[in-house]
Amino acid sequence: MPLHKKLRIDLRRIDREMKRIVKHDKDVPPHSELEKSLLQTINAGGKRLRPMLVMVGSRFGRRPNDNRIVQLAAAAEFIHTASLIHDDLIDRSPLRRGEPSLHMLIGPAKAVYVGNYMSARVVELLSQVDEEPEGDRQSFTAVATAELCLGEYEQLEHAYNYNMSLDDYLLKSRHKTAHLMAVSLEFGARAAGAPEPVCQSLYRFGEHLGLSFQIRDDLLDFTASAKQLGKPAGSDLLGGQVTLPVLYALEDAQLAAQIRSVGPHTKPEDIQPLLEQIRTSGALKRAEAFCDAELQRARDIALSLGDYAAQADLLSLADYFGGRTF
Amino acid sequence: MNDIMIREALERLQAEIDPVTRIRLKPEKSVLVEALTAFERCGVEPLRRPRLLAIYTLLASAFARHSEPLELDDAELTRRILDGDYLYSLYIQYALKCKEESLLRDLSPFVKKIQIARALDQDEQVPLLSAFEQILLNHKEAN
Repeated sequence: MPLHKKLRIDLRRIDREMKRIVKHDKDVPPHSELEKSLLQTINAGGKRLRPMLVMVGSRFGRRPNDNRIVQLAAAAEFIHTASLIHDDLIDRSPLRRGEPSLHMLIGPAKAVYVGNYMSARVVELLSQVDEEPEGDRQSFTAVATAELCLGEYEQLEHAYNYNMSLDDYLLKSRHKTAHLMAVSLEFGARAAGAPEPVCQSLYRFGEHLGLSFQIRDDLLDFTASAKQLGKPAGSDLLGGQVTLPVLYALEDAQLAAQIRSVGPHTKPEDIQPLLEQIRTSGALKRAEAFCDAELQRARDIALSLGDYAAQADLLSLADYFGGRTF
Repeated sequence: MNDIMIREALERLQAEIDPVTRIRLKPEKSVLVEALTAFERCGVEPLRRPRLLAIYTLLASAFARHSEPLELDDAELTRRILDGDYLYSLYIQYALKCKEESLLRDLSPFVKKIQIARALDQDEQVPLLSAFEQILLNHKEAN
């Protein structure tokens, strides 16, 4: 069963809200290239994990399903999507989910501004406050995006750095992936009026969940097909991303020598034998075990929230993240 | 007086910027003096001016990093995108830290319109400093 059905979340409602945010903006000319690009990006879909996390978080409060929660869920996806548009440019990636990236369609400058518009629109929307303390919703954008940027800087800093430590890897992954998932749960709960200790527990749950998500993504670079990934297998390794399986593989002297020879000018065909050797080296199993341990930590936090019916939704999330194959 | 405020604003800013970004802000002094003059004209009390200047500098620097040309073959493209994104998020974070929520709220439509104008290849209708002035004057009248 798809995750959204298991969680009883109507994803069409989220998508409608995302489109409404664009179409109800009187400053965006109807049928303009900007509007078309935004709607095309929304229609291209995605897992919508962050909106689902906002919705699940809200179930720990008194006001779940409030329209403002749906708006916050859409805002979380806007922030994520804006970061993906910019990531594709940073990585010079011509494809996103197997389709041309936005910058390939409208050019790099306009793609940057479409992403910027999405971030700016979120700040504008979340600033329109009613009964909540004014800074509460506004800070969602700030806390979400600054960490995403730091994760990108760290990734850039460590590209082809085969001496990167496990701690550096974990910090980068927390910033780049886990933090937005964690704040989506936390702010969803806070916006619905959940008690502060519960909001904090949900942040920690989301951080472990997000870390497991990143490690699973790292593993998929070795195990999934190009069709599933929307890019060739081994792209992370080729792009200089020192992921958890690579860190473990580097502990094997023979593999380490080959991995260290991968640089910015290495061709995709040159790494195919290396990919196969990493697959059979035991590095993937160790990364898998790390991923499972993170999920177990997330489950332990979920189990501590037994007073809430939404505890079951957290466990469903952990199960889904554990079984994700692409 | 202006020199002290400018130094204070830039020191505050640099302390906020995470070292991993390696961003060193070096705005032109004339631009900062112009902004301080505008803040004074709007009746902003001296103690508040350095933090408004810091907020203004962050936003103006974010815009500058994302200004055209932005080309795929530009070796600096990656850093410019990252710096612009980071400075924009820091602008929000710092404005909230300084309890300038209402300034942030009232600036948000201007910021958005600038992005729309850029996306549509149109002239940016309101210069950033004019937007600050307009908002600060409105706040002054409301009080």
